[in-house]
Amino acid sequence: MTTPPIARARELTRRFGDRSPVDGASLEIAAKESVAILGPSGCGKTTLLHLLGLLEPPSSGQVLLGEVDAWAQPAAERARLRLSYIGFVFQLNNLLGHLSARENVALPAWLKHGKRNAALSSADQWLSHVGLFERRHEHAARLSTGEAQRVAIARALINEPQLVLADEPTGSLDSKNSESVLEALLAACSQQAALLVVTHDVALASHLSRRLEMRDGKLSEA
Amino acid sequence: MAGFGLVFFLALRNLLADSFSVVLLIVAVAGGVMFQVPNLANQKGYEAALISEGVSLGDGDVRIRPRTGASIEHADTIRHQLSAHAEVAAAVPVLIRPGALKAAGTLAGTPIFALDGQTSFRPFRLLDGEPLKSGDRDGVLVGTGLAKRLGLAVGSTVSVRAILAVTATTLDDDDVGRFQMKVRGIVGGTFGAQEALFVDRQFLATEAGQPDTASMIYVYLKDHGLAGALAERINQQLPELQARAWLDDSPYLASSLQASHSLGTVSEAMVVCAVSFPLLALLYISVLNRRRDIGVMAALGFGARDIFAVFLVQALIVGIAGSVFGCLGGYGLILYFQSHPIFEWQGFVILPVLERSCFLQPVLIAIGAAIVAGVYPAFRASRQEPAPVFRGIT
Repeated sequence: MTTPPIARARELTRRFGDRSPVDGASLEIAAKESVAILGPSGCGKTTLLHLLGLLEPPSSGQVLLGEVDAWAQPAAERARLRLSYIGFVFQLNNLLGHLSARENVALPAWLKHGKRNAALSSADQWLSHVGLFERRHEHAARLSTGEAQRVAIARALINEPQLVLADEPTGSLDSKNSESVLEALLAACSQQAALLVVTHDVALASHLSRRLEMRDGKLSEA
Repeated sequence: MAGFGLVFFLALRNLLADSFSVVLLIVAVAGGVMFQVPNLANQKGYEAALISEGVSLGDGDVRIRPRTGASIEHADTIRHQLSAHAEVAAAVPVLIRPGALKAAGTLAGTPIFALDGQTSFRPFRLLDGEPLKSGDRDGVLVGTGLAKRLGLAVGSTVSVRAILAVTATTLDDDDVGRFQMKVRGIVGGTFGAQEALFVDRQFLATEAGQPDTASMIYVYLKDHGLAGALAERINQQLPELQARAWLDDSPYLASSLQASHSLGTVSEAMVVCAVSFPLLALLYISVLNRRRDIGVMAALGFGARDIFAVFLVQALIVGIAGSVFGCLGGYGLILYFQSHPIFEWQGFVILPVLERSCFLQPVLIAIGAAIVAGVYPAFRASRQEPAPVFRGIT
């Protein structure tokens, strides 16, 4: 018996009026695989990521997470999949600015397991992994962009998701911070999760095991 | 579904993140509660004063009249019967005659009320002088209105005329009593006492040749709420008499209380509007300002119900915090109005009533209004699509 892919996109299409940034895109991601999706700005990479991350419904096509047809599930079940199965890292870190780094990281675990203290100690461990334990009580709004992105990585991984989706994770960082964030992401994901990174940065993509290119709304091997 | 601890944590942190907005929100609720608490206390005080004037210092809780004729025979025997009821504080027979008062060449028509001097339950408030003693043949108490018009004071001598025969179809001189009397006291009372004369019942009844009769019996109760039931019992026990509870017998009093309740309801509605509209606007603006955070929460796995709960609990927290501050302010205002009453006239004073319901009712209204005001912003938050926010489309 073969293990099913972590995630599959089948003929995914997303239309906005007469424009289709994603038009029949198909994709399979295996466990522990790291995949880069390359393409210029505005080519539909982020929309594809939102479709795979259950943040935006497709106009047609399927997203299978394991064996589950995710978009056929009710909204509450999709929320549960986002909580347990998927981890997000956005281009602009998108931390909750009024929470501390530690609270930001703990949030998904607290939501999933309902235990605040356990979630906070787990958050401390993840912040240690990304080298920010000392900064754990700092408000997210006071972190540097690089630090905030590493906190976002810790938050994406705390529930040990099967699939990590990252949208231009180093897009707003200088080269030194980019390397550090990428290392943190790859190190964390190599332990457990498949990683899908959307980027226009070829150098970043070269660190991943597979590269796809988005063109005319479709995916092809780069 | 997120647990309450997490929902509360996020709601509280959301509020604290924008201290100016949260101050405005709490002030909106506190203002409503702070207005309504003393308002309700004064309203209750007004109603209590009204009942005190119309019932305790008026014609009593149950008013008893003869079903036929103008007099109740054996009034003292009936008084004793009535006093045997556990809820009765006092039964006071009153003989009422039309009459007039003459002083300094001015004659003024007035009803004359004759009641036993010893009773402490009287349909007036003694403002000056002393009450009548039992069997006082020369003493009279004069209402403030009459006293002012005729220039009377305690110790003044007045000429009192009373129509003694109430069944005669024609009057002759024998039916009219003429008495030189001394003003023993000046009395007040919103429900007629200020325009009336009060004399001793034994004196007037003897003069009228009906020593044990009364025109009415005022029954004073320990609890005003029992008047209706007692009136019914008296009507069954004493079928020759007609007993009416104060609410049925005094349309002015009943309608004044009804008007007070209506004004109270209007005031509550104003509080609901004053609390809910600013709250709705501010919470809605808060939702708009937090679209990115809402999108992040959705991406992290918060469901629509979780997000709805976070924003609704924000409204609840604001409602509770505002209520606490509003109650403190309201308590301060009650203390102020207790030392500076909103109305005071001839001993008729409206003092705010300090009781739990004066706080509980506005708090429940404010929290209810806050929750109602929070529903729409919370609903909008829960329905927000995360993807457009991340794409930067607003």
